[in-house]
Amino acid sequence: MRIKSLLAIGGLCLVALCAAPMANAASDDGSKRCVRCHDDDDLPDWSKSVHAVKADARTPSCIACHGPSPTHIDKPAGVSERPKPDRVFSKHGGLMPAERSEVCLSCHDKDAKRALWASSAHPSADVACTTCHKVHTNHDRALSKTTEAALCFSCHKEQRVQAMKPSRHPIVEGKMSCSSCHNVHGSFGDKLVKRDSTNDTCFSCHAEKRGPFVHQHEPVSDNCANCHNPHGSTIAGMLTARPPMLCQQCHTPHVAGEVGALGGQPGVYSRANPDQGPQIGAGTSGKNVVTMWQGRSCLACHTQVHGSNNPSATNPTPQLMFR
Amino acid sequence: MNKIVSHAGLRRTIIAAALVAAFASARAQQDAVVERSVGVGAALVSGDSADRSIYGQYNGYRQDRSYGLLDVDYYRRDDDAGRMTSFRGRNLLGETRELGFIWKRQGQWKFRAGYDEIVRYEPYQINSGLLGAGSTAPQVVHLGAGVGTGSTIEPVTRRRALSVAVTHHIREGLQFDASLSSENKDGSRLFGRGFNCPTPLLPGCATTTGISAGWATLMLPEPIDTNHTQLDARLSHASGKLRLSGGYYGSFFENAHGSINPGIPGSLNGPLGNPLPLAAGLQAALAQAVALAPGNEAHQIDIAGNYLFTPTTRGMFKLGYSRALQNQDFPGAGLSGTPPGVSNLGGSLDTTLVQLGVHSRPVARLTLVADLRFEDRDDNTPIRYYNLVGSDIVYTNRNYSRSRLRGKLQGSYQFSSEYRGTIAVGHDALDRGAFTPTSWVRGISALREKTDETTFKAELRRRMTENFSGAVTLSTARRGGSNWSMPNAGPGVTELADISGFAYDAVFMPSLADRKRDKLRLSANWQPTEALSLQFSVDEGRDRYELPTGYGLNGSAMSSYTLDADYALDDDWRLNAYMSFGDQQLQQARAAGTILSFDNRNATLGFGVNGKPSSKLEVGAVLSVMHDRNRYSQGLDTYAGANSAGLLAATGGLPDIAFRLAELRLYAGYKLSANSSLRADMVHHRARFNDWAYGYAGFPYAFSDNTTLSQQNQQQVSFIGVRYIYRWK
Repeated sequence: MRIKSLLAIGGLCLVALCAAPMANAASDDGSKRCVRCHDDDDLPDWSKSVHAVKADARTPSCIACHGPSPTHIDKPAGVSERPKPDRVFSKHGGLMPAERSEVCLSCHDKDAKRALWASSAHPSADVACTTCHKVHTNHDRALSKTTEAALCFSCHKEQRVQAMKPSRHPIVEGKMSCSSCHNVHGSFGDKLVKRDSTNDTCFSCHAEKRGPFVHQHEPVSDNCANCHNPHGSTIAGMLTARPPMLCQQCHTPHVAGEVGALGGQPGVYSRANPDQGPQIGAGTSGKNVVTMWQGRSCLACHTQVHGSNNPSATNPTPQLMFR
Repeated sequence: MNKIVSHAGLRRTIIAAALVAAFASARAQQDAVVERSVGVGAALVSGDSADRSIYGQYNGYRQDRSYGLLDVDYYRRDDDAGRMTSFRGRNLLGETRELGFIWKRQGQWKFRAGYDEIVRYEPYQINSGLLGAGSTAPQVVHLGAGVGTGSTIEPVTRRRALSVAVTHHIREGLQFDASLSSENKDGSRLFGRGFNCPTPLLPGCATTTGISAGWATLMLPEPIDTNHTQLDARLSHASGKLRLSGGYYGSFFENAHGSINPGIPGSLNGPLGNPLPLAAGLQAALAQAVALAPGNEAHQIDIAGNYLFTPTTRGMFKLGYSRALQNQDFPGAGLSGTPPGVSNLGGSLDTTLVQLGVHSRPVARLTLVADLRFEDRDDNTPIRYYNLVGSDIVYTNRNYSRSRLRGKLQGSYQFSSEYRGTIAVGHDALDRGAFTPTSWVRGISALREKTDETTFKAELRRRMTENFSGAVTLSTARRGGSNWSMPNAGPGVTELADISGFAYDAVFMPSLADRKRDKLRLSANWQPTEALSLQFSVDEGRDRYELPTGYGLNGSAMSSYTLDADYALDDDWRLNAYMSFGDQQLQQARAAGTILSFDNRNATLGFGVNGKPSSKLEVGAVLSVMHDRNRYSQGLDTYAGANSAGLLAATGGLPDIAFRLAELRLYAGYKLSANSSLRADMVHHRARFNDWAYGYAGFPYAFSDNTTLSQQNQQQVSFIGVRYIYRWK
């Protein structure tokens, strides 16, 4: 597919789209009285926010979100403390999380990516839109790859720890974020993954694992998380356990020696006691305790653990993921 | 293969365009807001490549001592017209550069384009005599002088992605979105080849003796040269009570390499590390073509949406159909020996997805959620005799059709303004279909056609005061399934109603075995003062597998305890800190071998401060410390022999693997004038990692050609970067 041609076509389409008539600027009557007090000195600069674009007819005024708030605007006589606005979006505002989210959804539920919010995991845990998003700012932490993960880690502590481990995705570097894999607003996939399944989500970056292959490894096509922890691990390849432990959870072991041991330990290459020779000798098979627990372990021979497309019916054939 | 994103000329063009966009004069227009900034600077990094193998894995700071820093920003906004243009470039002189362009008229259309680079340096360094490492024809060369006498190979993988996206609000309630991305990935990563003789898979290959080597393991980096192009298009409609969208997703993966064909010498190390001639048959076996990932594609169309039946009841649905195809030409990929008349796999997987859901609040205090998901995967890949064992056993590939039905019913009741209770029940039924009778499995004791699992969950949330809230959640799940099936001596499997038909040492997979799963979660948020907030959470979980023989994964457990605190000293200064303790355990057993108890314990501390000492100065610091320990405790199975007992006594078992990390990040930003500022970043990173995978106690693990891998156990890196940022409007 030639990207240059596609970009040119896209540009031409864009020119055509730009010929559409400009929207009329929205009326701002709903904000005039508010900004008499809540002016530029009171609020941070949010002029770049999408909620501040006056020319967009959909842009809400202050009272569209915060309510008419008549007693807040005109403090009643005899009241010592000015009442709060009708809708305050902080923890102390008196609104339940679902009520806060309903205000946002009055506009944003038209977006296909938020269509499943109501039944998803976050509102069930009393997470509101404003728990993560800040409206009156030019830098909403939830909208930047470099700051989003820290926001998610404020609740997802286990993932915070895993992201620090040596085998991980580049989240700390800001090259990926939680929303690279998850649709936090609701998804048909497990654990709010972006696509319909964990595997489909993984394949969006790791398409080489999709296959199908001549020789399939069934747990791979079932669920990548059968073997991997995508948030991080101390084991290379983000594995949940190292080979041969991981592999022997499903497969019959074939190791002479049977206990785990390493080259450099007594008894492996050296005689540890008069009654027993060293584990490794001149005639020791390749399936020995050192090759099983060190190096690439099972993957030294079973290299194609994700599946092999080798069709060869010539011995040794590639079944058992050899090649 | 689309090479456009990897062309060096294109990268220079992009950088030049970024600078032009930043420095070009804006056309004067009334009410237009234009902001531009350029940040230039330099960074110094201490240590060498070995010191930075963990720190420099993804940030592009693995190799050199000094780096240039260049960022640009351009922003233009026309409030009256509602148009916005922005251009952003990050790390333009580094290996992880990013460019983003947005042009939009909010509420009408939006165009985005982006360029993104990701680099990954393999933490391990390879010392090898291998020629052509990272190519499709590497030549194995035995290091006759011993380990460590070869050349250093540092595999690196680079991704470069170009993307465009467009959004058009056609009219009120009708929106079109489309995106196209193309990513090139090249480089190499750890891979290998190995074989052990004798084996029924290769009649005639000879065993290892004192004068010939009958097995070998080799490190051969996998060459990577791929392109992945993805197209997403969606038309969304929203009006009244209906939200409806239809979409297409296409994914196209191409691999320039079909196979690796290594050159194998006639001699490699024997079991004791001394070079020996290869036993009969081994050299030819090792030199056979190794298949790489084949090109493939996937297409999905779907219709999804929701309908508001009443103001308090919403129904949701998704209907999807996808097809995954793989028809790589075998000869073109360098793969031979195919069954007669077969030139490609003809792989085809069709998946149908139906998902329905209802969310309802029939009365103010009660919320009901119901979900039902049915997924049917139909494997239409032709079944052919790809496999041969010895000289007379032939069998086919397998059919992997399956279907899955999942449902959930959940009810939440708001007892009062403080209490809300939730109960939920879910069921998951997976049918893997009948085993292909002409196929064959080895290395597996038991398979199972069907599994089903029922989950119960109960939760109580209490919003005790405005400043204190908490929740406790309990869930329990029970999984069972159909009868187990035992692989036949030849093709096929036989379902056994009586488990006693299995061998005493049969292994039952954790993904198929009956399982009891229990979880407890406690969480609390407390804000005793306006300035101080505390969070506390506890997670406990346990899986117990019912294995008829007791061999395999018997159980696992996890626990996690965290405490977070956030304190605002005043309007300008903020402190935060956290402590986290976690423990994960696995217990598994091998017949006549070990009972292995794996325990991963982790303790993590963090402390952060940020503030503004003056109106011109902003500072911050984050300290993160992690101690992670993996313990592999071994006991002896009842049937373990004297050899196992003797080895365990001699070695003392497998050593612990500890990972320790301490990282201090400091930053400071100083405003020089209304238009200019300085930004300094400093990182001090220390890591200790004694993973014994490639060496222990000074004894390296050597591949059969004396290739070794190493990673410095103790690593220490300091980074300092300073930027001058100039902004103008």
